[in-house]
Amino acid sequence: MLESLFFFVIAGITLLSALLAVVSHKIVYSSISVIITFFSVAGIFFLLNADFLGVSQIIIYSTGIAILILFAIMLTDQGKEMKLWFDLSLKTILSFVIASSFLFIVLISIFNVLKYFGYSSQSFNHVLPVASAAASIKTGGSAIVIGKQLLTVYLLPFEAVSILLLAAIVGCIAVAKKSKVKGDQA
Amino acid sequence: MTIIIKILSVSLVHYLVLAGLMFFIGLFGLLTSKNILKMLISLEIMLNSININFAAFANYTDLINLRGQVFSLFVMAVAAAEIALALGILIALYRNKPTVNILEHRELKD
Repeated sequence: MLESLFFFVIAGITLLSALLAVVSHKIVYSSISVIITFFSVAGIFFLLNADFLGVSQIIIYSTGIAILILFAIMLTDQGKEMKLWFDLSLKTILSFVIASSFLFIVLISIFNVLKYFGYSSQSFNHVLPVASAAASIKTGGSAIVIGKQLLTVYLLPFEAVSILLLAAIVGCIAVAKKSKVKGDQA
Repeated sequence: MTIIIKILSVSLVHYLVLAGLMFFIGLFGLLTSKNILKMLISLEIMLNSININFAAFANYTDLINLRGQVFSLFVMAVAAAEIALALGILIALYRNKPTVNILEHRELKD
């Protein structure tokens, strides 16, 4: 029951800060709220027995990407962009309709599947399916399983991701640096 | 009474509904905002909701192999590369035309 309480508190913080990040006037406020969202998503991961994923979330998202976003805010002038908040125009209403129809489809499909499998199905119960695996993950952590998977079954995607990260590093520097050629800058 | 206990006891459905709501918020922000940085922030919220889905399915249906968590790590790596590259492009774009308003960057259309 305590786990349920934790879930509802963390889910409330997540949704509230995500909503604040989307609707707040100033970009600094929304960046701070999105950092809170990243931390609470890490809390959701810890509730889901995904300790390695939660720690990676804190390292990658709530520090790395947060610092990148804050640096981008500092490097661009946000002073005169206050009026970029959305107003009650046709575009806003249309995008609300699109997003809420998407949400409607997702909820309908979730509850249809729930009805199809029945409420007593094991996947939709709060009891974990494999008790021994759950016990080993709760004591030993999920990093062992993830490491074995990454270096055996998913070795090719793992190497592809490393090449992708290298290309992203080089590409970032190549895109963002000032060009040395005179007259090239507009 | 039993339905209240059913709602209060957390299962897979709770995580799926939470991820759906987060995706809704991110999609709404991505469609409405005129600031490039806020669009990127909304994109990150959407990617996080997808990671919640992966982790929830890994916890409730595939606890032996944890394929969902592995895939979620790949999503995180791709998202980190994507946001770094997008912010680099934003800095380069800002050097050309000093504004973050998405509606003023329309040189390709004109």
